[in-house]
Amino acid sequence: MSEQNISLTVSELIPKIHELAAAKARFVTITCLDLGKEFEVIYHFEKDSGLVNVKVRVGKEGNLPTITTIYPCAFLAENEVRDMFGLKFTGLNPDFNSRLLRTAEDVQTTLLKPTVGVSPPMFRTPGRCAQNCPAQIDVPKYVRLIAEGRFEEALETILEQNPLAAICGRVCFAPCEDGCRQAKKGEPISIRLLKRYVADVVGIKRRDVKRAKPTGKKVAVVGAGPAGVTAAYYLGLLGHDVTVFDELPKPGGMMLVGIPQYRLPKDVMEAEIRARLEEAEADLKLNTKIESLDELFKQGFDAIFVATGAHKGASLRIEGEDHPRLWDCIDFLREVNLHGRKPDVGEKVVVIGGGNSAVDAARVSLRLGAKEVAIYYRRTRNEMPATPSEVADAEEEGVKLEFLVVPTKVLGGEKPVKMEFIKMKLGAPDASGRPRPEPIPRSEFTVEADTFIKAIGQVVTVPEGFNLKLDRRGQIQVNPETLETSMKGVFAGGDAVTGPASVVEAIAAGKKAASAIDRYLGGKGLPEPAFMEEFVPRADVEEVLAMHKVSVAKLPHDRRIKTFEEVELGYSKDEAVREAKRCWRCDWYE
Amino acid sequence: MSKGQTKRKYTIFPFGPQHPVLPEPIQLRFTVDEERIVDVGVNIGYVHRGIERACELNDYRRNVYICERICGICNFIHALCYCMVVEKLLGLEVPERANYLRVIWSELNRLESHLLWLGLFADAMGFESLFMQFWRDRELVMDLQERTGGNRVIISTCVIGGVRRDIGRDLANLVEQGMLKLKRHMDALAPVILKDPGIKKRTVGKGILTYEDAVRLGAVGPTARGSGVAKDIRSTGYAAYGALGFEPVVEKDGDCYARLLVRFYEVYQAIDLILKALKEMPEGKIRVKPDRWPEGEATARAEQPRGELFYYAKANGSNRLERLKVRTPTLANIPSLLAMLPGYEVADIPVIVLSIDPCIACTERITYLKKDGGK
Repeated sequence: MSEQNISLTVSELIPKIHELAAAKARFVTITCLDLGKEFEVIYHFEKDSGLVNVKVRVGKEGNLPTITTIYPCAFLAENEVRDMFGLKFTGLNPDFNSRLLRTAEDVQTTLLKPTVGVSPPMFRTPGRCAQNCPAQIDVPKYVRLIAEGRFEEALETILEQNPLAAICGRVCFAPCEDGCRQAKKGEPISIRLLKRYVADVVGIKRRDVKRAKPTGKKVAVVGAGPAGVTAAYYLGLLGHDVTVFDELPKPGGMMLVGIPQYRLPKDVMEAEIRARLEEAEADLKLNTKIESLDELFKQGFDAIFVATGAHKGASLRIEGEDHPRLWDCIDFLREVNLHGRKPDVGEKVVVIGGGNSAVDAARVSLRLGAKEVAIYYRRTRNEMPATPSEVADAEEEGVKLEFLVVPTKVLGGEKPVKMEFIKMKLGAPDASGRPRPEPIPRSEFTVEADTFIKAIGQVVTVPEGFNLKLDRRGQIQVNPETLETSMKGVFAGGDAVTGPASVVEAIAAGKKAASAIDRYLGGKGLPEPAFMEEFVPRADVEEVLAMHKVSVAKLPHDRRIKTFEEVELGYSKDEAVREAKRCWRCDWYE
Repeated sequence: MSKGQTKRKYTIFPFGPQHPVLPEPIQLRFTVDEERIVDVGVNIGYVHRGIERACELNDYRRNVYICERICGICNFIHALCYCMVVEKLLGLEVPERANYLRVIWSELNRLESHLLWLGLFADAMGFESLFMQFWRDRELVMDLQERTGGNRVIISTCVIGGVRRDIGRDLANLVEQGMLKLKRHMDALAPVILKDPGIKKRTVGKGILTYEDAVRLGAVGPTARGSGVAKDIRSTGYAAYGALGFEPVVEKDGDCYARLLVRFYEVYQAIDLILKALKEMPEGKIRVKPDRWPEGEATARAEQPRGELFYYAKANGSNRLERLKVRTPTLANIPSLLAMLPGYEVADIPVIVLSIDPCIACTERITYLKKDGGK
């Protein structure tokens, strides 16, 4: 096999190619070599079954004349050299404009997509429901486990992040449901009721949990509300020796005092709290009021978590507020819920305020025998902080709602009491984003009722002996990341830090505190929620969308207002599974 | 794209990069006038495997295994061609027996490839049972590759300076028996190829490539030989082809049927070559070890089932090559393919495209120099 090498200058190239074409040489290919300062281009030809290599040197900025005019089949080789080395050929035809070879940044996406159908998802996001949950429960996972009938695993999934499943299943205001993809249709999945179902069906009992090796550190938790119990539970699981103190005779804090029996049966609540604390091997010391934190440190505690809550009703700041028939909502509810007394509310009751406490006070009044109950709120229905379903339930039971009214003074009198109110209009939005109500001049009117109940929120009262730094509203000041207070080794969370909030927010605070306290004591804190789940393809979206919300059975209306029995009866097994099957898995597919 | 003299409106439609008849990424853009093809554009370069660049980064002895993977079906011939170019740089003389063994494995590769193609071609015509027949017989060849090379496909027997495995007397007997059996099977299928009116209707007179076009467009392999161009690199006598004596198979018509016949007769030719090589194979060493590092530049060519394979290598006396250039036969045949298609009907496209035996995996072996070298 003979081989012939010819070196040429650029100008000699085309004549030589013509000569080869006349000798019927066959074009083989073009090789380009990068010599640093210049390129060496080798044209390979086959002539009489031997090879002819024509070598041309050209500068990096130089051009070469195309040989496609003589050998049209050379266009692929020339385009290839041009794309690989950036060497230009004048008159190249056809010119692929550097698109013969695509670089990695310029990949044709059509080839990366499968030819038919949708590719199965690769990554899972927490899902909007779980993103909305302050406690970071893996909501999509347990909803799906319920749909498959695996209730115990579903409950375990919840308890990983939230120890109070039965309680939250009843009283949580369910921010998860606002995030639910089905909410776009106006019918979010009843995640709260699903949680309640699994908690009830599995039952409240002491589980076999793995507790970490005892660390020998002692932690005191002041307040047995949701924040305190959660912190105690997780600290106990992390191996610390926890003691929970509470001044009330039963655990539960504001859940005990503020939430009526018909929404949260007290036996369920107490059983669940006790079960969790037993699992964590935490001591519960009731009827013990803590006056000083130094005292606790002297008893040998290494860290203290303060979760005393917000138990004092806020003031209306109006003339004659100390009238005996103007009750404070929290005091009123405490009487009923804690002491089981039945205060005489009279025939007509007016509740002032728009939160859940106001609605609770109104509904409790009905059950205590009031014939006519009204809620007076200074803004409109849209701005009411109470859960809409609670408001709807209350209206169903006969509670009247009056909007855009505010009390200005107590006029006095006994049965009925007279109070002066003024009408309002909505103005510009305030700091909370809600429109600020403004009084309409000379629109005062008088309301008569047997009892007025003010439910305009609670304020935090921290015992003076704690010596903690408070902010101007009387709430404990903490580092928002670690929940550490001004005193070393003392952490605080829940309503005592945030002001009145929800159960699930308190649970989130308790968990955060448990992590922070564990780190303070030399541990690693609680693991981040992993949101791991095996992928299971979903059913057809259209099918899922066509399913309607399963409504929950409620106590008949006539029995409701006479007793304190639980109003919501919860789902049956079929209903729970059917409702859970409405999940369309946006965590995987969006 | 052709503008056309009349004001007729043309349709442009893409064929590939994903198409049932050709599951490899090449796109042909057809301009059609109703059913008739007016013009064809080509789009390649969907998958670059960076093999030339990879060969510059590895030890020259290990490159054999990289080159082998340029194409699965003619893996031995890629390795052989690479070894030939490096042996030229080293001035290494390969033992005689190794040359005969190289021929045997090259021809087994060719049998494997041609039987595969004959099956696929039958499938493209809709001749399902013929497809199965060819693929069943192909298993004979695959089994022999496994027995002699240790693997059904990538056999990795070629190394610089010779081959890695010997074919002893027992194995030689086995190969001989296998070849005789394959020949009997081909005899049974020959009447179908030669006489079946269905095959003739789909292939005769379709996709004509004239002798002049084949020369002008640089066609190689069975594509060129189907048009009467008596070009076969094996006639240059590399490995033991010179000693065995070799005459290329040539057909004159230049249509799909001619290319089919070339490949079918080459199956017989390969069987004969293997039998002859087994018989004439001399005793002796099968491998010499290189005693220095390659230097200088060289080219080598070998005949793949699809046509001429071209390797260019440049080395500077280190254990790595400075530049390796590979030109696979499919790249050389694409211009011919583009010349074949105009004038035929859309229904002929699969048959004509397949008739060059396109192997895009071979073609796409180019590096991303823009990205990693900025050259």
